[in-house]
Amino acid sequence: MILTPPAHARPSWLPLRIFIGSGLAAALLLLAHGASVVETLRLLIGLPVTSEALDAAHPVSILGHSAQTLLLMLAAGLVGFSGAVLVTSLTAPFGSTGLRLASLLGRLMAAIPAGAAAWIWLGWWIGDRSGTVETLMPVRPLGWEANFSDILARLWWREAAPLLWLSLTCMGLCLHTLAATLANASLADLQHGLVGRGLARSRIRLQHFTPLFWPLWQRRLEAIGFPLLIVVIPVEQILAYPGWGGATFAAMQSGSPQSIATCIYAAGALMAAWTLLVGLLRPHTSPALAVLDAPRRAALDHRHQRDARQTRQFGILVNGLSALLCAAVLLIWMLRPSAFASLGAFPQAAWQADLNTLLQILGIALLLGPLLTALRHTAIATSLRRFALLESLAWSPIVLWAMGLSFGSGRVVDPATALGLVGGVILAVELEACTRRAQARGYLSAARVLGASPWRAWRTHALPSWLQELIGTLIWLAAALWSAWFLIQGLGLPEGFGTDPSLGGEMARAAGDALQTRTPLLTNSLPAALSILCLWNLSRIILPSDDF
Amino acid sequence: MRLLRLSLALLPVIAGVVTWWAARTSTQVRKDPEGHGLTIMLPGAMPLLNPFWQSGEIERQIVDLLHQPMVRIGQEGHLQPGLAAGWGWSQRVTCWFANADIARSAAEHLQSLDADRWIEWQLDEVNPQGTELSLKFASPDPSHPDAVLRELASFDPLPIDFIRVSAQDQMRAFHAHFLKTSVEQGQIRRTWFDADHTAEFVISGTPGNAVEEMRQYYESRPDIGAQLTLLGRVAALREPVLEFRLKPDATWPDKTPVTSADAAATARYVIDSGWPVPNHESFRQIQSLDTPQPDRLRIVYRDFLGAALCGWVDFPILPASWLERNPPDTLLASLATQVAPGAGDYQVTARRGDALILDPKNVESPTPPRLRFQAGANDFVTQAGFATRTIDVFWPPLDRLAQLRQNPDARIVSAPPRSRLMVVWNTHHPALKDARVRRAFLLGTDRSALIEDLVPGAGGLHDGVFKPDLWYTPATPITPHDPEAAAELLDAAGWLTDVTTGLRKRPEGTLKINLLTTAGNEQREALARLLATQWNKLGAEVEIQAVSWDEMIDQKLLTREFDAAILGFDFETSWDQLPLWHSSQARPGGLNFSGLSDRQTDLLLETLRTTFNPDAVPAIAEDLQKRLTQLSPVLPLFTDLQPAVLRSSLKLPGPMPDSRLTLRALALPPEADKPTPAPHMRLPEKEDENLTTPPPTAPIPPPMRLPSDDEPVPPPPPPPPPVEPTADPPPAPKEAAPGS
Repeated sequence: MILTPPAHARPSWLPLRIFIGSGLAAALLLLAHGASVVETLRLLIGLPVTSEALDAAHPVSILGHSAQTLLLMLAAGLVGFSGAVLVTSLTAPFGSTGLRLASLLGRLMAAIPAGAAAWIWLGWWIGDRSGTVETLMPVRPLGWEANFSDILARLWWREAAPLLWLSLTCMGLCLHTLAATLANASLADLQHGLVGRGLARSRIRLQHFTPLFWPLWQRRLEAIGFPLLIVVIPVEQILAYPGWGGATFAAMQSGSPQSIATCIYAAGALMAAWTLLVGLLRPHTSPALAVLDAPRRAALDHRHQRDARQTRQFGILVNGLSALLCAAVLLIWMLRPSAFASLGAFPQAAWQADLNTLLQILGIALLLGPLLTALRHTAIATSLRRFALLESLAWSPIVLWAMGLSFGSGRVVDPATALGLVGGVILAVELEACTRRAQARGYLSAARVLGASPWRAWRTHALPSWLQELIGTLIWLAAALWSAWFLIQGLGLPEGFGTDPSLGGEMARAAGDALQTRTPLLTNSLPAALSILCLWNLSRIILPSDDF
Repeated sequence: MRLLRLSLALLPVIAGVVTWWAARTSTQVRKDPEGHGLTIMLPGAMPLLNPFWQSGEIERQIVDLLHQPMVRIGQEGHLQPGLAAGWGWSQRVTCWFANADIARSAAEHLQSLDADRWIEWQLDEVNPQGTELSLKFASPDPSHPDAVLRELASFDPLPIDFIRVSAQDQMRAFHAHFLKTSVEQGQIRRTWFDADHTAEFVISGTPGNAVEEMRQYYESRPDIGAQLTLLGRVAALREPVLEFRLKPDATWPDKTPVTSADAAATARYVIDSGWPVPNHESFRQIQSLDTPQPDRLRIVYRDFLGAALCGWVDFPILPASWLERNPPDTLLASLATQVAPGAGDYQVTARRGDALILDPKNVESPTPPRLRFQAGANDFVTQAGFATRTIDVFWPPLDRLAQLRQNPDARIVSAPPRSRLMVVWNTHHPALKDARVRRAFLLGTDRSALIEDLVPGAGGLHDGVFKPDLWYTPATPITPHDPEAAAELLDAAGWLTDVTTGLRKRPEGTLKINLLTTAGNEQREALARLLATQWNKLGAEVEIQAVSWDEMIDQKLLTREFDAAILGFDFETSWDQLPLWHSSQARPGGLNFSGLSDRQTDLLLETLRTTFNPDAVPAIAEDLQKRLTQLSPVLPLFTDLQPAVLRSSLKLPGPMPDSRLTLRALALPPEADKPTPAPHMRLPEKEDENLTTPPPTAPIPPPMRLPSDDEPVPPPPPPPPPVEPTADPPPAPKEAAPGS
């Protein structure tokens, strides 16, 4: 979970919008760094497919890197989705509790900072098990092995190592999506009706429920591609996999604007391809929705509210347990530091610096989000709304753009500000959707008809839910952006970009020792992961019915 | 549909199982149980493998495996044959006479002398060629020809003038033009260019003619700004000659034999291109390179420099044809795409991006291992490779050394040091001119602490001026850190501690030193700060001055306007230390930065410079080292060590201390390096040569030999054609012959 675009605000013609958006972002980056218009146009028409400042060991162009990564992502998506289906199927018989547990498991798999988990796994696998990772090993010509199965094993393991990690992340995201939507959907009455008609359960799932949920799942599967694309960067860099992620990391470290712009442009092409391919997976439609007649919809709303209460209670329980665990660890750490002597000192300075950075990111998002929402209600913006520019922006890999703007030589903004801007855009889209939902409920119109003033009608009937959505979205954004912050710091800023303490930086430093000892890495990554989980759960408590 | 659902559900399970199998199989395959070779992870990028200049010690070691020098330093620190099966020094003395008859008469006079006198003089050959009489002596000892020259004095050999011409413009072009127009060009016997603006000529003929003509030529061109200087006048030209005999079985990777033409072409290549090979000063002294036979290389030097042999030590020889195809200006571009072929023990079998594979050239028993080099990996990848036993050797960053020392699977080794850091004292400084003060600073400096602070694990202590671990390097004890002794020495020198300031004072002032260091070099600047802190404790007031390298050399050291300076020097195999410590170099502009001027040291340096026998070097070197230790013109800080990590379970070809482990020692058994019984080799006797060497391709006029009692005197050879001066000719020894 780095940052998932709002699924409810998916614009039409999404692949084309993403591709054009990435081209414009790349052009903006180049122009900001003093490139000529001709050079920028060359980029936009795809000419400067360059490997300048990329990994010199990979002479293949960036398009080749991107194609390799796309195949990897698709394979990871397939395996991850299959795993999620399997786990969901296994937990579904236990009802909503089982599904919520599966959803929590999905979060755990997706929310732990990718880099830290990968390092810890690698450290264990290589350091303790003396296991190999083909891409990390010295070059060995094929044919060294005695038989074909050895060659096959090497070739498969070379691709499977990044696939394994990406599949786990993807499975977490898919599992959360599937389980959460099913857990929050009140389908019991519908299911009873269908069962009463004598339909088999498998047929009900396949021919009624799946088509019912597929439009939502499809949007979420499309959205999963975006955090997956960000996770690809550390995974490929850590595993030295010759794909787009490794090339992007090299480009960011080199600080070459042209290389970064090319990678962003390629990222747009990657995501366009991902959304296009996921969009093609449209199953046959079924008139299942027709069974949801009006009286039953009202009943479902009632059940929905009841399930939301249960979800909130579940979230409180999980968060409370997490908070208790954190408090216990901190207490023991403060009272008996010798108990953790092997773990090293608690990174207090880094923790404080990261908290300040988080507040800075949220502050910018909190200022920019409502401002953009307000601007969208101006006359000009209303006429432009049909182009869904803000939604398009939110559905573009803007986290990547932010990183590109932050890393390039003569960078445009610092990483925290860039992330704040990203958060502002997402927040604006969410607030817009929230406002529309409040307006669509009819409470406001009814209150106005009964004589309430516009302000009173808004304050009484819309503001509470609006504020709830604002706070919930903001906390969810905090979790997402903070994980992105850890990623940026963990990747390591190029030299000359400052060395402020941060948990991500500490993680990167501890990663060097991961083969011998994993405890320093664990010490730094655990609070980061726990804080992200707590924030995420907090957002679920505030907004139990939403499925971020 | 059921099948699809089942497949969908089983897909992650199947993928997981297959991945587990692949990971396990891959790990087992990578273990390399049969020991196919060594995998070596290089720090940084893959080196260019330039045979003539290496950017670091690791590249040097790889080049050492690929290329074979004429002579190398063996693992025990002795001279060992490389491509050369043997070598030896001789001396050529040349006289010119008024006409060919006189020259022939002089030769016949020498031939008529008793054989015992030839043996006493170590005279081997007498060879008249026109007006020139060439004498070959078996020894380069300059005293032997004196008696012979006294015998020839009655034949009135023509005087030989040494003329030095310095110009502001390119000398070669003007000299070529001069030769075209000169009437007396035949009198110019040798020509030698020192860089582009200076040339030295050896002129012998009617006194004054050629010199006057040359003077008029250059005076008529005032824009050249030429200055002619008569360096000396002698009766005979003496030139030391080094002769190599090549091994018959040495071949290039394409199996063609290595010939003396290859060695000569390589030397000319380096001289012309100016690559800074080690001991390149000795190449500058080369007057001519001859290849009388495919396995014979004869080098004539212009000066009696005993350590000139060291120029050929570890100097890689390349095929002449390859050098011809790759001129110096395109060498770097060529090396980016190909590896220069060498006659070393290993050859490149694959080079791809960041990977390089070397295989032993000759399959022997035990077979040397295949060496796989990998570059461009980050620290984590390197550690991963070592942990999974897929990397056997790597060079860790210094901050990881402490951790690696605790790893039982890692053995920390290092190659012999290649350079050292020192503080050069200005011995004319009011305080530092006293050797006791200089010695006190040596005693008062905690060099181990400096190493620990700056380069932990990567520095070593060595107090000698010579390269460590060579056969002639005296065993110099390390001066311990002894602040009390330092204080006593300072007290004895009259520098007493001021109780108020803690600084040492004398009536004329405080003990104050300005310490020069290189600006922009963080390590040197940190070193200066640490030294200042330590010397402050001794009572010295230290002012650090960071200047650029050019400024330090040009405006401080060469002008002697400094007190103390931190300098780094590369160790050289040569035992000639004269440029660094001789009083003739102490004047501003010389390389004796310390300004040391000591008669005893000068004598030792001069003796060492003209010592041709490597076996005689250790005794003189030891005396010189003792003297320099007493005088302490420098404060040796530490040498560089490049620690490498070696898998401790690796079986080495032979015993080797951790401080001297190189790739060669790791790959090749020590027996391969010592087929020679003694470090100093001589050329075999002529009878032996005839058995092993092919006949010369062109007939060589038989030289006059000492006739035996029962052998008739052979008729004199026909007079050779007049020798035209070569375009880029030879010598000019500077000392005048005794008796001239």
